[in-house]
Amino acid sequence: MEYVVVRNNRALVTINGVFRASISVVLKAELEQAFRQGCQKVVFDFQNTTFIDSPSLKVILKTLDSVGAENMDIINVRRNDKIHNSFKRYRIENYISSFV
Amino acid sequence: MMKNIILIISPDPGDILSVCRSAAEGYGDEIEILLAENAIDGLDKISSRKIMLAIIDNDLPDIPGMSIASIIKDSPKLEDIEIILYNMTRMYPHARADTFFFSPLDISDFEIALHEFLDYRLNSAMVSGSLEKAIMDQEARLPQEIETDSFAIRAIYSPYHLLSGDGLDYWYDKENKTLYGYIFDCVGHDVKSYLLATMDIMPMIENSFRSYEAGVYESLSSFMSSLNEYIFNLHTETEPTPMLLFHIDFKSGFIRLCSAGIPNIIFRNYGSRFTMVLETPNYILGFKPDIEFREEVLDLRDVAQVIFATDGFLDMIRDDTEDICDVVNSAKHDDVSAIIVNFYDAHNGHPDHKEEV
Repeated sequence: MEYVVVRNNRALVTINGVFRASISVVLKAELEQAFRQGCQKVVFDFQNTTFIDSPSLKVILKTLDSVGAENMDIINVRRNDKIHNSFKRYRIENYISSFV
Repeated sequence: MMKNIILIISPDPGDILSVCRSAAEGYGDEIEILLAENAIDGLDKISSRKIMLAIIDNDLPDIPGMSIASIIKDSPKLEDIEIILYNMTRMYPHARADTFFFSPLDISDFEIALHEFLDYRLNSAMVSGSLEKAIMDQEARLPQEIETDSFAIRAIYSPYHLLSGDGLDYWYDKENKTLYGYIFDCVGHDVKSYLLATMDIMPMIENSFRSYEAGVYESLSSFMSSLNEYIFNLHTETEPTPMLLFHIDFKSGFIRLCSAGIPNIIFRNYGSRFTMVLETPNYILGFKPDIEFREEVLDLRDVAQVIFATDGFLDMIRDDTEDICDVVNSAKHDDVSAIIVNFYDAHNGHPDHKEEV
């Protein structure tokens, strides 16, 4: 898988550069595969992400809806203003305790 | 089954071929990849087979790739072929292609462009005839400009690729001197988003707005909450949809607005050359069923211009960091839509102070 690494029961999602619609199509399929492999938790790591567009935010919202806030971590968001502002738009951080 | 053909014209297709093969795997047997080592060979294949996508190296041994691209695009029988032209060193007049990549090629940018094209072309449920009709319907649905002594309102509507997942409308109640409108963004910029916007979301808002005008809802906030409830009942899988509703009352002098995931609005006050931003962070429609939406109120007396826009437009506004075009390596990365309202000072009792629009 290109964007998802499975470790124990966690799916670690890392996007380098621009997280855009075309990537979100692939990512959605990879996450489904990770869930089939038994993953129950998802970690989105934005350390190396420079921009996220709205279709990609939708993948995150749908993942959140599917696994529940207690099983989702979103990390390294505040390192980049553009990324952080994208999340602030939808107040996603209000729903996720491990949003850093 | 007739296959969709990708033709690569290059003496050294290398990474381009690998990326195409990898992308084609995601479509089973639907895609066939052909190779041509030079321009003449490429033209021969183009004239004998029905090509969906031609990926042309500009640095061909016999004829420049950009010349081949122009020949194809100017031929009535071939103009529908999508062309990606790469290894460009500069733009010449009459260079024709759908996408250009300059040398040195960033293969990841190419990969993204290829995936976007294939997703649009092959995941679309529409055949070409209905696509053309949908484009005409989309244009017909756009609201006309309205101009009165007090204001002028107009729309910008630019799909990322043929059809937009954005939607907008506005109308003026002359009797009550009230302007109503909305703008939303079905997240994504593909045919699926367009169908969701036109078949589900727009009818839902249009119907509910009549109730709002009739006073069924006490505020835009409660109106938005009812839309949120509605959107959860539309489909088994709820589609998150950023939305903004507005209501401009010229009698009382207030702009009322309620955002659900439209991050901000832009406005400019009288006498100022500079626009300002009103942050309106809020939960997106269709995210959670039990959330409340906040209504904002602006004093109309001070405002000369207000712009309600989707994030495809708002993302492009320059801030103190990098330009978005540099970040995404593209002049435009999403559907772009906006409603622009210019207020004349007449609504303040100064009819002689009418700003240039």
